Amino acid sequence: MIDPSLIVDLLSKNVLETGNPLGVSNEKINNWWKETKIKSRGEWLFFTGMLYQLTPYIESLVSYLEKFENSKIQSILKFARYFRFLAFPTLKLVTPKRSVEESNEILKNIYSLLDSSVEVFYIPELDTYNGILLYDYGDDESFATHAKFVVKKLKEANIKKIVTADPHTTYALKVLYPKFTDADFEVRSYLELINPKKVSKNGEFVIHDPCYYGRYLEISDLVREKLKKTGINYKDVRYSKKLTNCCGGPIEALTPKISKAVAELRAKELGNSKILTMCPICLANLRRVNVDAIDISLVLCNESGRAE
Amino acid sequence: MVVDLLKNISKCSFCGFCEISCPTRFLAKRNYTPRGRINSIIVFVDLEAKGESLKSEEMLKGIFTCLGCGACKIHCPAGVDIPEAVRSFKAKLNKNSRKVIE
Repeated sequence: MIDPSLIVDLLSKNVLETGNPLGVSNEKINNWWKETKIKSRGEWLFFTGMLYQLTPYIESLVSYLEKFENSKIQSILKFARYFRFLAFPTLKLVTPKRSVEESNEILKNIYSLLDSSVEVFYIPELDTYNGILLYDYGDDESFATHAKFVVKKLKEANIKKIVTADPHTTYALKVLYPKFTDADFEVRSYLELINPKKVSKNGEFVIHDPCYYGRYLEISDLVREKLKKTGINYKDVRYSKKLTNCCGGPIEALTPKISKAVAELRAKELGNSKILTMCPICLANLRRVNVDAIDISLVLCNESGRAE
Repeated sequence: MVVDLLKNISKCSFCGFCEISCPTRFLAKRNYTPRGRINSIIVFVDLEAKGESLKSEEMLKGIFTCLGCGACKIHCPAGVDIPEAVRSFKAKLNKNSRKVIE
């Protein structure tokens, strides 16, 4: 295991100083909207919480952390923030371009699905990391400080309704922010708001429910209703919905080996079919054990890649 | 914080119904299961009240490998919010270690 205090300390300093767990400005990783016709006004603000954008880089980082897990070399993490200017360019170099492109494609699809269902708009300057890792690792003080910063920005922009892209951001904004700040936004996952049309997709998919959607927010049945509308064939495994099992992702930065072993257990439960995921962390961690997984947004859109 | 934590975990009767649902149970060590984690917290808080310390590497590993997935919570007949207990204990450990560093 990587010493939790090293990871928590690094995360906290990066998030509080730059607003981003990698210690870079959001503009460097948030590029999906540049090739999309986005609206700057509407009813629902699209808020990605930066998780889809961050995941490709986090996965590259985890592959290196795995190499020195349990070794004394990990103490170099103490000095990592002093080399922040070097860290991200290096990480960018070793991160597969196709992973970044896929994340961008997922966000474009989600926006497109929303655009054809509700009055959605996007303001890149308002989109910020959600802070969930700080909360997960028990750094409540830093999480509260960051959450207050995010809420202040959103309130100053007079935002009332927020639609999110992933389960972690949905849970953070809907449940945690009101506990830690004076946030009172109406928050929905994009899966709750979209009205997908019929799509032509062959084969059968197996659903992997993320813990936050299955147990914490209980929207698994709603997701299945949307899938039925599109005519996509899907199958549930024994441990799904409220009884879903974790992909192992939440501890990948602390103990990549145990995280991978948890993913292997989940992969066995899911079987050899094509797996549908709804969370960037689940998608990446299940792929670490060679699961044939795809994000649900890529399936809900037509072959053209866009919602009609 | 400690009072809330104790109120929550004091309902635990160590029945072990939570164990089967935990994704890290395969590690086959007591401190890597929900019941074991609750036990670590109780022993830690108890010893701390007596001015002693139990911050072993194994205890830390047990606590920080909790995924926070919540699979154990729905199996607890006593209604212990196990993921929240473990998470708030992480917060307590973080606070303690920062004090030492300062």
